[in-house]
Amino acid sequence: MIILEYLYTLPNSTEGLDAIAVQTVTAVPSLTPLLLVFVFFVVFLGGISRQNLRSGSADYPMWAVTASLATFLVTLLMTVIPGLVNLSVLVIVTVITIFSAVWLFLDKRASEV
Amino acid sequence: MALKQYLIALASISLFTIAILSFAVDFAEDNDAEVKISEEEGLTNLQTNVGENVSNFRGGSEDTYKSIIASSIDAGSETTPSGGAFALTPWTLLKPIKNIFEVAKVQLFGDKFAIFFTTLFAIMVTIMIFYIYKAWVGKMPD
Repeated sequence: MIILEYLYTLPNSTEGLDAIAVQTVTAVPSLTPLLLVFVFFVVFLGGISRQNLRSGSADYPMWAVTASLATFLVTLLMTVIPGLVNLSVLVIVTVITIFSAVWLFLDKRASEV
Repeated sequence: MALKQYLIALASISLFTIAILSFAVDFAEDNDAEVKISEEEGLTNLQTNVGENVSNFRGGSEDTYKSIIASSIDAGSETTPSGGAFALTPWTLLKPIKNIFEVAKVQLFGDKFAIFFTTLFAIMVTIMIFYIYKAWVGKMPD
């Protein structure tokens, strides 16, 4: 059996789930941004494809806002624990959320919000 | 999309921005978060500025109302001699968009991307001018 060596120090699992999450993010800093990207695109692409299947057309800006808000809420929850997410990521998510709203409200072809 | 929808869209963007930023700030306060959005100067300024812009919009809409009431249309004429009645309200609502673009420029793209947002804002101003002209004169400019 081949035993692969870990490239980072394994988190100490005796300190609770929060500590595991923080130690994992400390070892792999790209985990948090990539998790947020994953959340965004699951909602965005999933919503668009389902709406396309149901009605034949999709409201892209509306799904962008929905995905942004989902990502925004996940990011806010992460800010409660120190070490999970840093301020620059929170700011970028917030600005993208606001920009999705700019897109939604100025787009009057598909969405009539 | 006419002038009315354009105004509603601009106002909605402003209110959405205020709501999102206020929620994030209050969330951090309520939960004693380690990472607080209020520590970022750009977004804090955006919240303050957009709040002031929307407040000015209230005053601007009042001025627009007074301007329209005070305006007169000559007998046999289809429009007023001046388009001043339409000038105040849309302009106060475009300022939040400018502030949002400023923050996005700094936080997402950096200063070298400034011309992109400047052009985008100029397009929005131009669209606003066409809408005002159409609402005032009743046709698009030749």
